[in-house]
Amino acid sequence: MPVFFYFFLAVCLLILQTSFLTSLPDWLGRPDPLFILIVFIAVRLQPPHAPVLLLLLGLIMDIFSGIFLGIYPIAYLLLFFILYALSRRLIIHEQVHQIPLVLSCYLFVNGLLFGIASFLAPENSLVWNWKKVLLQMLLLGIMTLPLFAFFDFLDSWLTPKKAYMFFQRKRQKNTFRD
Amino acid sequence: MRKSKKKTKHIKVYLLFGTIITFILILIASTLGRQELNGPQRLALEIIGKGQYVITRITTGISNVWYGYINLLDVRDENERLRQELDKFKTTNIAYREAVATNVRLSKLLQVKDTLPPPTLTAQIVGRDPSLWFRTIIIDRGSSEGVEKGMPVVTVEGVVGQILDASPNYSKVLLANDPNSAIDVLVQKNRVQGIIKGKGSSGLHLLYVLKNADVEEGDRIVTSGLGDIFPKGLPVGSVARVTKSKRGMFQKIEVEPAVDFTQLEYLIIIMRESSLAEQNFEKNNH
Repeated sequence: MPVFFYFFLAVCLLILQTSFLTSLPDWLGRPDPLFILIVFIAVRLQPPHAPVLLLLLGLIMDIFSGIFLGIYPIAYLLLFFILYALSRRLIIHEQVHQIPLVLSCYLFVNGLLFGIASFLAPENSLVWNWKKVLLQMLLLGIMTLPLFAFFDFLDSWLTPKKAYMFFQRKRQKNTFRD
Repeated sequence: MRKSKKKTKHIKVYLLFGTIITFILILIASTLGRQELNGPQRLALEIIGKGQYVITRITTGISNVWYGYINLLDVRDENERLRQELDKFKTTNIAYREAVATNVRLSKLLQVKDTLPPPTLTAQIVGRDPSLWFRTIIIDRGSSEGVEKGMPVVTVEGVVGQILDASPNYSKVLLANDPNSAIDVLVQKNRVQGIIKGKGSSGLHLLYVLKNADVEEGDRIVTSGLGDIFPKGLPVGSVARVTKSKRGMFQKIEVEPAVDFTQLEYLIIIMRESSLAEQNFEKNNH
């Protein structure tokens, strides 16, 4: 059930992003709420749901963006496996880490897309535009916390067990005793 | 006794007739006499008129206050209604302005369509590429209407791009400013050939133009018609900057596109002769 819901939500965000949000003036950048959802899915959902969902979303992104089919599924799956590997070693579920997590993921995915596109068509003069990338990262930085909170709320609503944990205050360890 | 009764009766009849005659005479006299009120009449008029005036003012005042109060009760509703009407008319006005603007744009497109080889198809943009590295758009025409991969897409100003892929009702267009786009062009004034490639942003590059070719700022670039994709002579842009480096055989030429890719709305697809639309067109004509 949550997988279908996230899929539906992602499709809605994609429609919003390719129609309304692209009509915003260039200086305002192009807000990318879908990418935050993708990172959220990669972090919160477990295999096999997360990779399957990301694969599907990558295939859909291929339709609406770019000319090389297959680069979005590769980028999203790689992102998932890296985050999955990191989540065992690092505490990336904490709220404090959400912004740097999303920003580094954005850099990684865009670097990968840029690299693959340049590799597949070396004759084309694809230029890395730091100004646009930083503007996008700034927008993502602003949107990450509220959107993560919103997605967490939806997640808790979809899975009642998590809802209990979500509204329950976490007990902190008494560090003075250690 | 009887005589006295008779006398009294006669006197009453005389009095009656006398009174009637007197009134008739007064009436005749007043009608034939001067038409002005006399002093006492004027005094009476003055006094009674004053009273009438006072009463009328008071009555009018009361009725004004009353009607004013009644009206006040209705004013709020009327104000609200008028505001709603104003909003409605404003919306209608905006819709009319938009319709006029759309009409102007479509009229221009029609003019351009007349100059293009038939058949052509008008399309509207429904989506844009959200990524930073690619420049594609989605339009509301697809393979069911004969749209095929490689078909040129133009607008009033000039070349927009070409069809990259099509589903039954929608198609993906690769814009000319995408780095993966390449169009055969020539410099209009001296027919020097080259290839236009997108820079990713709003600009274009003119490649493979030899250093000895005479190309200057402001020169118009048009499609060459080579490759049988774009018809010959469609405007692509104008030369913005020419750089001749010491090394290499070719000039580095930056081109300002004729089309503002950020303002695109309605487009024209130039259909191929073998396309479904052409077949339908022929069927209808036969």
